Amino acid sequence: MNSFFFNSKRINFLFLAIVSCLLIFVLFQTMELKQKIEANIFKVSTVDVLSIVSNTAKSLVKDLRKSNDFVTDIQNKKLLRKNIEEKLELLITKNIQYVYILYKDKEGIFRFLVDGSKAENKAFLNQKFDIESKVWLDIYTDKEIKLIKHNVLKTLSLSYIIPILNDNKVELLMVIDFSLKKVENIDSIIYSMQNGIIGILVVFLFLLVIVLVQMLKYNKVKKTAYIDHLTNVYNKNYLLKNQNNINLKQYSLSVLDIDHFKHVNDTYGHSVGDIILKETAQIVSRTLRISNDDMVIRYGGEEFILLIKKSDKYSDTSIQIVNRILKNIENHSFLISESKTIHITVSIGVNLNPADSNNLFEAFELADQALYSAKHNGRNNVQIYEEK
Amino acid sequence: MKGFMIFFISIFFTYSNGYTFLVDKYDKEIELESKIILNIAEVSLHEKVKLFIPHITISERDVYSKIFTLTKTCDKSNFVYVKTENNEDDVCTDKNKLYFTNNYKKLLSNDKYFGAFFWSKSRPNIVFIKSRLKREHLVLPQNYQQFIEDL
Repeated sequence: MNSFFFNSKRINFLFLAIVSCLLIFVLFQTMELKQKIEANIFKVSTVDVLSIVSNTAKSLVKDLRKSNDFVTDIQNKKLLRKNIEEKLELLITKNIQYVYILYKDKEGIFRFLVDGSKAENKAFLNQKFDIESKVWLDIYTDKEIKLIKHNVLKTLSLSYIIPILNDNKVELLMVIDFSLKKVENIDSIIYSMQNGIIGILVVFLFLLVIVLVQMLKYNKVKKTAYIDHLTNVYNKNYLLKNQNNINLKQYSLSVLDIDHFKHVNDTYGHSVGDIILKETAQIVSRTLRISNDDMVIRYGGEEFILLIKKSDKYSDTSIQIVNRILKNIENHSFLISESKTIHITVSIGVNLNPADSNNLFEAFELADQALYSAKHNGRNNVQIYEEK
Repeated sequence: MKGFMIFFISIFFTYSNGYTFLVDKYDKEIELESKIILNIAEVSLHEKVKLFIPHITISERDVYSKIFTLTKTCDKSNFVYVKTENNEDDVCTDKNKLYFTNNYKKLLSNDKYFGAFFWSKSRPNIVFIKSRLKREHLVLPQNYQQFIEDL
């Protein structure tokens, strides 16, 4: 069908497209939000620990302030090493798995200097430490605290590396390894939030689906209210509903009436009458340019209103189309039983300038006058209303 | 219908081995370890590696047997990987084999081991001892030089 329902489909599609875009936007925002929240939670939940460890590092520097070479001093002074080790041991919690101090030897190999871990996990003095990324080397140039997230390591989640400076040169690295439990705790908070957001989105989507289903149902009901069940063209309700929305300046208005329809009904029965109505409507619809916003309306009984869009180029387009309709119906064989066909004719009254009337029904009256003339002139012809 | 069911059930059972990780204790750590040991054994030996692991567990056997020829006794092997913590050094004493361990303390205390692969601070570490490599006439490729220690 044309304009009205086509438009409502377009509105539905537009609505769906806008909502889909909105949902995608919300989804991306949620993902971005999740990352931001994750970063913030990490920051908030580790900031105190980091401050404590940084303070411990500062206190170590204080203890070593008279030293020119931190590494050699700690290596050689057992008591000093023991003292630092005890300080590091205090930092171990269920979330902080390991705290230790490393140094880089002349060959560039990282080695343990002090380890605050429990005895079974304690590394030996000068034991080699294999680094897994370049970040460990970068700290020697930018002298800033580094965070490494472990994706591969089985029991570690993240590590902070705090540089300990001597004479503005990085001499030692204090490392804290957080256990997986820390991230699991943070992840559980994030997952709860994420699930909450997903839950809201699902509810929103569910409501949206309900709204869409209701809209489709409403359109279907509206369609049945405005479409003639027998002929599948618009009915009078449609015309009444949209009379003010139809721009009469763009259309010519014709009234088509099937000749001797009562005789057909009386002779062959109402079922044949229905066939005639149905096929006449089909011929009219096929001949009109529905895609060009031409409209056909069953006004009542065997009477149809044709609204034919005027052409800017050709002034007589409407007349050509109604004449074609007249001929097509005249030439059509209506099959009324398995072997019998009949021919029928129609009369058409045309109002070429319906916009000159006050409203659509006044314009219809004028076309109806022309139709009366066509009937009077022997039927099966087209008459155009002319102002007297 | 019966044939159809039998067909699907037989397909399901054929591939059921792929789902045993749900019930078996399959350790990714063992898989990683096995690959590292394979690399080390291959660069150390110039013949086919015949690996012996004393007191090997079932899950280790499953993983290692996929990439190694495992021997049941020490005398048939050419590469021995000692994993047990307690003092199992006497299980294998033959001189004509390479000994490797997963314990850093063991490496330091017993000079028959030329190297170790172990987890320190939850990170994988590899150490070869220079003097022992020399004793075994082993020359490791350049990318292994970073793991050689002069202890």
